[in-house]
Amino acid sequence: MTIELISILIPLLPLAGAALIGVVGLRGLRDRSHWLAILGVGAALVLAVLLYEQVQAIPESEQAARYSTPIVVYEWFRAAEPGTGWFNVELRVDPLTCVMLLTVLSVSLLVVIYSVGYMRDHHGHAERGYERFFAFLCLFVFSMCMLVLGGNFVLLYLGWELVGLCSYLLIGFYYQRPSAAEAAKKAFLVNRVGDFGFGLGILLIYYHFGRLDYAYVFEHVGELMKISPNQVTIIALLLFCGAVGKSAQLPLHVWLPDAMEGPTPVSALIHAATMVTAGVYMVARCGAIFAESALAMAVVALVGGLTALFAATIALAQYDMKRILAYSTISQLGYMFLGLGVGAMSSAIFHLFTHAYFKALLFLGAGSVMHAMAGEIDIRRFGGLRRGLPWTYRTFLIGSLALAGFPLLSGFWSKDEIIHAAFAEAPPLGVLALLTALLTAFYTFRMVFRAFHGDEKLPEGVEHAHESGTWMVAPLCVLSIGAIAAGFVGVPAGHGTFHHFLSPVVHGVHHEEGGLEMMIVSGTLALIGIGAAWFVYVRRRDLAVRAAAAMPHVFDALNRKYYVDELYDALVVGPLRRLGRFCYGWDTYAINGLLWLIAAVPRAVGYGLTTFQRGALQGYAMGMTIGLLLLMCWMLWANGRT
Amino acid sequence: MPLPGAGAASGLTMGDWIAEHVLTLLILTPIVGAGLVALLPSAAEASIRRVSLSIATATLLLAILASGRFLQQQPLFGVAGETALHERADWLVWPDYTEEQTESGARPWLRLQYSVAVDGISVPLILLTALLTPLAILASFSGIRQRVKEYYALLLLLHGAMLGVFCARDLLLFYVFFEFTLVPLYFIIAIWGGSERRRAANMFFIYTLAGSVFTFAGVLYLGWMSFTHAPTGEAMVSFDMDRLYLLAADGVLSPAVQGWLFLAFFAGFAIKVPIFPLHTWLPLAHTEAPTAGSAILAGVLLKLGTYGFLRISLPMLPEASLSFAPWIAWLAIVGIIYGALAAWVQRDVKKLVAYSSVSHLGFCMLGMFSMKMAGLTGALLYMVNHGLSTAALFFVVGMIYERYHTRRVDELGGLARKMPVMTFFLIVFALASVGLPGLNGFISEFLVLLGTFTSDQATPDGPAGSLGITYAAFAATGIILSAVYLLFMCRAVLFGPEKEPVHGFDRHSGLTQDLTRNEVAVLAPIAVLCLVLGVAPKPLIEMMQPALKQQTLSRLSAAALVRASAEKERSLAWRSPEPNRDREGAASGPQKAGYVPVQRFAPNRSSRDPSWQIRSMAAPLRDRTDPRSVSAGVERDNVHPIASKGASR
Repeated sequence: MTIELISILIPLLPLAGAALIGVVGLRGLRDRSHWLAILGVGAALVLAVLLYEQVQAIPESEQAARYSTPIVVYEWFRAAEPGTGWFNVELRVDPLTCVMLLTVLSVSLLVVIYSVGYMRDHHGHAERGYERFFAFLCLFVFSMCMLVLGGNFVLLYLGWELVGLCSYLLIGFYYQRPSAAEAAKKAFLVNRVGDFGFGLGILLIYYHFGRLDYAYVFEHVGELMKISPNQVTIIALLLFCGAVGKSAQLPLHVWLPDAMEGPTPVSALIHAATMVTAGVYMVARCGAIFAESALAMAVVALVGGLTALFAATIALAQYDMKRILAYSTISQLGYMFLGLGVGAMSSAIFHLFTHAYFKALLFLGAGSVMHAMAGEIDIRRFGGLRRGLPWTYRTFLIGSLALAGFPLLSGFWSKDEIIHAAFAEAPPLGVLALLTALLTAFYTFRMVFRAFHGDEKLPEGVEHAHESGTWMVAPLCVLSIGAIAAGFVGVPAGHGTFHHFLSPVVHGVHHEEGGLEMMIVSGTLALIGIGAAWFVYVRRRDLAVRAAAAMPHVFDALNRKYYVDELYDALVVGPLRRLGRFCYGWDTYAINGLLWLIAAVPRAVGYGLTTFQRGALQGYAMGMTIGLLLLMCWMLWANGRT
Repeated sequence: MPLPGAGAASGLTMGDWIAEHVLTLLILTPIVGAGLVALLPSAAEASIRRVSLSIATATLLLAILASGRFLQQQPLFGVAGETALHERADWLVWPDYTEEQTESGARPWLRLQYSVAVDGISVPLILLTALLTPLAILASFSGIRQRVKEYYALLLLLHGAMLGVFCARDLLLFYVFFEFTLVPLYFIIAIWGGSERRRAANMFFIYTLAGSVFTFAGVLYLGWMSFTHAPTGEAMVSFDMDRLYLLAADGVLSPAVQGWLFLAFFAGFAIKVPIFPLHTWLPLAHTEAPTAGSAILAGVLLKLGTYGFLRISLPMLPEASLSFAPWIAWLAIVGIIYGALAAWVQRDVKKLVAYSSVSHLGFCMLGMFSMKMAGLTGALLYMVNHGLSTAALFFVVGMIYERYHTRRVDELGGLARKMPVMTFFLIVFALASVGLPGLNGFISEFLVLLGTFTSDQATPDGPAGSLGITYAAFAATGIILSAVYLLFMCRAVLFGPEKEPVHGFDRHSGLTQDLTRNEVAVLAPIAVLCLVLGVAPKPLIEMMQPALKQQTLSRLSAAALVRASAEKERSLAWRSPEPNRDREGAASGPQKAGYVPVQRFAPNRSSRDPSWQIRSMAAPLRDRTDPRSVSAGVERDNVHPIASKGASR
């Protein structure tokens, strides 16, 4: 099969899956609908592997030409300004696309398989909305494939919005829960705020280049830079707005923790492994634009670094396992942006790749715990689960070690590269990143120790902890292999297969000096963090409580997430709502009142004339004719004068 | 075009005859049908419904036939952007000279015509109208229980009038149809409406009528001025649109007169659209009208206003349009934000949807006054897309109302559980309205913003408009706000714990809990169209753009060039004073300096000509220093030669 055919089929197969599930769901075969999803996503994954093989086989001399020639599927719409053609539905296949597709599809397939077990009750009956769930998942996979395959900014925006829609639908999957419905709405709206900037950025690109396809824009961005560097910076910053929204960076991070209201597989797939990394993908894809502007890069790095630390501190004081993981995701995404911002773009993509596996693993593990605890996810309510859930514990431990940056696991390699690059480019940000690494290890193992170690404690209503079934455990095992081994494709740092494959399209920097020292430092910090967590949560369990009691304000601020939600409510939502009420009031009273007054004059006059005229419409017609005549006379007169 | 089944016998077959007079048939079918329905016995409700539905369906088929004929008659399938399917008949000729008198040179003073034709602008709107009306009729089957006969007769009458507006090629005819739509709708609201129906109907009627009185004055004045362009042997005064288009192009209308005329037309059209702050009739009328009335009102009637701008104000009064563009754009932007915020705080779902129209049509106006192809295409697509999605939203709201007799968000909730099919449709239409890519709303919104954004750029086919980045940035907040209120609606009505009003589901409504088959038949075609127009709008765009260029944009560009060269002349004038040009000179048309024949600038560049791109890249950059000056737009290398060629002539 040719690259063209494969790349068209990859998004189409999950879409077909979604459509068919809709049909089957209507027919009543809903309990079997997961097979269609597995088939669709699995086939797409096979094709993605084939695509990878073929892209890899492209000789170096042809690479540039092949990558920049889009695969046009059909013509979509056009602005028809002279010199601009159609906005096409066109696909771009290059190493970055391949990496993203492999990541997205492999995690998707595992999550789909896991969901077969997760979306059932303890008797094996499918949950309400089972087929809806799989249809949305397939739709999501389609959207994500479009996002990474799209060959121009319009398609990028299409994928961008469609994944947002799927996220909305899946967060609100348990739509009867008010919190889920609110969280879904919030996710969509906060993302829209980011998309506002993103859309303007795309329009600005069109304004300057007259076209929106990647190849043309990236090729000519240098020329624009020569004429007007500020405009390039503005474009880059506007695009970054979109990334801030989608990847939940400061200050638009507020939606992601709430998004945990969705079913856990959704959190694993969309809100940890794939969709939230779309912002990272986008910045890497537009690397040519960002790299031109030092200011934009600095902003990206700064936002990333600050978010990483900010979210890590909040994660210290949360009790909901999924929320801890959510803040951890925000923090890790911050790392990726830090990497992008300091120019280590391929390292950022590398971290995206490894993070997808270990974070999906952690979320799915948390889901397994939740399944066993009858929906309870608060680490204060249970403990010592390692005996009851041995497989979940083992895999969760591997994921945690990878997240904490334990030496030789996948997270270690990728995170270390970013920290190293940050140190070389901007030492203060490097310090920030190291501090975050320490905190990461600590809060991760705080969760591990509280949930799995110590004496067994079960929430009310749960007799004893059951390990989950094969449908759920198998993906956990596969993912933990990924969490252990995924890092080795990037070894040695900066020269691994991964970086080499990406090098034609994603630029990276690599600083040779100090690489080993940095590894030792970050590895040690990870060990210190884990050790500290062990000391506080296993050895001296009273310490944490005392520390929290000693600094109630700090703890409260962390626990309440620095009051950002409250702040937005008070500063943005509230005033807008009041403005809306004012607008409506203005309509009802001011404008209509004025009209009433205007109408009152003829009415008053009319009272005097009622003796002659009673029929309402004739009266108006009369008035109209007279007015018209007067107007015409006046116009003729005025015209005659000039 | 022989129809299937039409005899292949000699001469004019039935099929040929239909094809020849397809527009007249299109307009007359519903009007005659209304009479037919009125003749049926009132008690035969079932057959009344069936007959009116078949008449509306027949009209739809005629509309499809007409658009097929249109495409067929157009050379190169509409690339030229000309009108087609012309039909003309004299309505009133005065004085009515005999043949000998005419031969001896006497020409009538006044000729009123029945003149219809379509082009790429009107065909999409005709199809929209023809599609929505049968659906509205179908949607009324369960809701309308009283005075059934009158209701359907009025609906069909309204249908004919709306089609007439889009077909009319004579300004007076246009005005007649435009006004006539008020009458059936007035009764529909006043008789079958909600609790405040009388007030709503009166307000709607008087409001719109008050505005269109001024429009009528404008129509008369324009018609009267048409004597300057009477061809030999033709009547002095005529309302033929093709003639009226020439007036402004030839400089008959001074800028001041154009301004007044523009305001006169604005009064009628702006109220219809509605543009802030003339929108206050809309929430009330939409809310009080019966479901089908609201759907038609939002789906088609509001478009009469925007269509009026597109068909009359912009091309007939181009200079005034250019001058007023920033003002109207600001009103549109205020409307976008104001309408969205007001929609958000509504407690009545129907009112929420009504206010959303205020917001959405702001986009439509904005695109139109960007004076760019992208903006105009976006605006026209917006009319179609808004017509589909908002009408559908009204249908869904009506279906909820028929079951629960309430539309208040605090009395409803969690309907997704009991009504999954309804939920599916409501979400699809809400998303189409929000502008989700892949559904229809996105493309129009994107093009409108694109047009607004690039409005201050001059392109080879026309100088710069007067909007720009600031306008687009403010308008783009609409994409956040539209999501705010529509998702608020979905959240309140569909999600959350189940909540029903105290009296619960109305078991006497004869409806099932979820949508009936009839109701699905109403919504499904719209949903399919929303998807198709979002994924493959190419045929529609290809039909629209040549017409927009030929009918509207070229006239605007001509005026912009004239204005720019006049400005330049003025700046030269105080250095070397020229003899004053008197009014006669100004009116004498093509000889006037700076007049550029319309066909002059249409350098048909290949779509991916790179040489222009590089320049276009450089142009806006220079533009940044002086973005909004029209004269700067003309000075630019790629436009200037054309302008000066025209001027030197």
